Amino acid sequence: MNRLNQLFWRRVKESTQMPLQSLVVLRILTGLFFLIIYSPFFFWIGEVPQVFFYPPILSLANLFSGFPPAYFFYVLDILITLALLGVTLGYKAKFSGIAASLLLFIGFNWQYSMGKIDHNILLLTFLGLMSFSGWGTKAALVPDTPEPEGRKEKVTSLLAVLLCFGMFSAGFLKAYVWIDFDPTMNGFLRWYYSGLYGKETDYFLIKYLQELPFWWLDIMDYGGVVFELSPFLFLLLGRKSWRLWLLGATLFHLMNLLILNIPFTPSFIIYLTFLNLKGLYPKVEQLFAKKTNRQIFVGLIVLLGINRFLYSFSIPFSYFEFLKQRDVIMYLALILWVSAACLFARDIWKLSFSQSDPT
Amino acid sequence: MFSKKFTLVLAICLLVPFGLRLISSKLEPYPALLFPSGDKQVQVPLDSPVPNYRYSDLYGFTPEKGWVNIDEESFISPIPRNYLSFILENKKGLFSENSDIEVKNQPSSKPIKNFLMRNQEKKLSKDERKEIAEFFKQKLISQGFDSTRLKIVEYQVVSYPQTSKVDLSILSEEIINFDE
Repeated sequence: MNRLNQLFWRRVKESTQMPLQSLVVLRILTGLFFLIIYSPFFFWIGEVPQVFFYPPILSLANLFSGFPPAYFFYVLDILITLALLGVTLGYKAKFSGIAASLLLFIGFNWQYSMGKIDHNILLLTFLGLMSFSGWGTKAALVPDTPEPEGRKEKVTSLLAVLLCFGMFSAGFLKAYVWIDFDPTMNGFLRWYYSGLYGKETDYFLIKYLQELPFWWLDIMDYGGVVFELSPFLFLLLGRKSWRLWLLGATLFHLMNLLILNIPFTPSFIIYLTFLNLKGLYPKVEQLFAKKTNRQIFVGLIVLLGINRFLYSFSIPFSYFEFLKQRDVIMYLALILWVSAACLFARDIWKLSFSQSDPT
Repeated sequence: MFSKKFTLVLAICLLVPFGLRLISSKLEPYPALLFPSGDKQVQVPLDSPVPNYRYSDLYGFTPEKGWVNIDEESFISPIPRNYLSFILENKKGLFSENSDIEVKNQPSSKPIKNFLMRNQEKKLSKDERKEIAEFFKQKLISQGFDSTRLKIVEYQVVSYPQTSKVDLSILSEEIINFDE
């Protein structure tokens, strides 16, 4: 049993280990991702009537009998902004990342107390978990103390296992219901209808699905199930196969966006963990090495933080007014998933033709 | 790397919430590392039209145009629009005075279940109904509708083979009068 355990984690480690420089770049990209693209706010919960309070039965919010007062959410948003600034600028990034993750958990716990849980949990776990990787030890205003040897490998391994399990949790029930060899029933078509009629969305290719021959629908059902149940296998097969699965994942999200109009951008930054970003490190290092560069960078990031404050307090001129529009969300997701697919394809290409492992 | 004990604890932390969701989606804990399942199916119109999807639409009233489709995003704002159907589903007695949601709390039996379900099985008070009516009336006014009326229409989608053509039939209509 112990041998099997060691073998499992060794295989995972071999597939997922990344250079520290790559994780440092990832920290800054993560901060920017949270400050610009996927920036959760909770101040609006203060305006929601208490009647809508319907928390998950097994949740922290169900220990309470209603939403907290409005000021609670304003304070929460302010603290989240400060924590995200800390992550991006590397101001005690470990503490800031853990704090941001916990604060976001608290906020989403209340947001999901309206009868629906959105499944972005891995993103919050990612933020907390990566804080232990040592990503705040370089290119930082106040660098963290270095992590013990082997810690970053543990972190990336654990993140990969959590991602694989998340996919498995999505695919397991689908496999039970969708793999029925009955062409008269289809699961993918239900997702399609809920987009078309439930969410009334009509971007990209959504209108054309029904014009395809129906055997396509079965391919979507079976393909979706195989994709969601397969990541553990690819993870254990090795480094290249894990990247191949990640490339498949970016194409899967791209297809979901084009046909079902589901953007699911939180996964983007999680997948980036397993992309070697080491090439960008010298530029990131320069941002912090020279005083002028550092001042400009800090100034810009603080401006992003101020922008979050403006939006939290409903003061005009925040770019979130623009970014939260449905058109922008959809086209931004398109850019992100196309970029991610190209980057992973390039990474696999490089991995295939390089003599030694780039990490 | 990780010890056997750690792997075991990790497996328990991941599998217990997963097992709970398998038993019932209402038992899905938060936080728990789970991705959306969405395993339901619909009928495929292979060679003849089939009724295969239901959805609801909301309408507001204007004296000039009659019943007009409501912009649901503004109507439920600041709550995200994709929560609307869940709110209407979970709070079935939201608009009705004669709600079929009953207070099931009986202090003498099953205290843990009663505690866990108290928020879900809570009956709306008169004040809460008033609060919710006021919330939606303001939303109707902001979209230029008569604040006293709201119509919920449930549609049935009938799909045809190999075409994007669909028919919509009305399954039910309910007019909510906020001033009653």
